[in-house]
Amino acid sequence: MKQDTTPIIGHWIKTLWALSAIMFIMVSITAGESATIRVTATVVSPFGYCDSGKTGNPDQGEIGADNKAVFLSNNSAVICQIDVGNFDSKEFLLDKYPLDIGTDAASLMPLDSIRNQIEMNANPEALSFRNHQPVIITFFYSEN
Amino acid sequence: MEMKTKSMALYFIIILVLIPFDSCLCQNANATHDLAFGDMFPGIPKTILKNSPGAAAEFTVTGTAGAEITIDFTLPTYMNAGGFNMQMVFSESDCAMDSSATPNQASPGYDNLDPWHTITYRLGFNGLTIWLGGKAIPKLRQPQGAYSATIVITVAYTGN
Repeated sequence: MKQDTTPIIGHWIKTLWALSAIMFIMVSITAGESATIRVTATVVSPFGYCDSGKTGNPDQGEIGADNKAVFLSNNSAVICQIDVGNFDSKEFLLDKYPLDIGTDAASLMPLDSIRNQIEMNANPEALSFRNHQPVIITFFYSEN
Repeated sequence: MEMKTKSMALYFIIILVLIPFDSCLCQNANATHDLAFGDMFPGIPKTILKNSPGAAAEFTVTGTAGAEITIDFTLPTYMNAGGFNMQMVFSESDCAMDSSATPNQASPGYDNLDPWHTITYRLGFNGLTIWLGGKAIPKLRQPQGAYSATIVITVAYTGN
C-alpha cells in the first residue's frame, strides 16, 4: 500500500520557510544599523605676513631693515602664527625664540604668550614685532 | 491529525522565537550633531573635546531595554578639501556615553571610551547618547578651504 507523502512534504516546506524567516531576521540584527555624520573644518587664509627674509614696507607686514615690522589692522581680533626657519615644534619655538612685542621695547615674552595676547586683543590697531631670529609671522582673523 | 497538531506546535514555537527578535528590529542609531571644528589656522592644531556642546559629534541610540549592543566607529584619518588632506587624530579616550533620561554631556555616565575598539553596552529604558571629540592638525602651509570627512557609527545587537 502506497503512503501519501504530501502532508509531510508540506510540513517541511513550512518549516523551512519559518527557518528562513528566522535566519533573515538574525542576519538583519547582526548587520546592525549605521548612522553617518560629517566632520567639518574651515581653514582660513592669512591676511598679512611678516617675513624677515624680505626687506621693505613694514606697513605691509614685512620686516624692514631695522628688523622691525608693523602691521596695521582695523579689523577684529587677529591671531599670529609664528614659523621660525624649518622648525615647526612649538616647544622649541617657545624656549629658543622669544620675541619683543610693541614698538617701545616691551619685555621679552614667550611665543605662546604673544599668541595669547594677540588673540585676546579685541581691536588691535597696530601690532609690532621685533625679531631676534629669522622668522615668519602670519596673521589671521580670529574666530571672535 | 497528529501531524497537524505537531505542525501547530511548531508554528507556536517559531512565533515565540520570532517575537523577541522582531522587537530587536526597532534598534535605531541617529546622528544628531556633526563634529565641527569651525575656523582653523594653518599650523595650529585644534581639539574638540567630547564634552563640548555644539562642537562634539553626538549620536543617539534607541532600542530594546535590557538588550546588549555593540557600538563600532569608522573613523577618518584625514579631512579633505579639493584634493588636499588635513590630518585627524582620535585618541583612545575621545568617546563618552550617557544613558540617563537627561543626558549629561559635561559629566557623562561613561567617560573616556576608546572609539577605535568595539564598545559593548546593555541598553536601558532611556536609550543612549554618545559623544565623540577629535583633533585636526593642519600643516603649516595647509591650503585654505572647507574640509570635511565622514564618521560612521554602527550599532548591532549581540543577542545577549
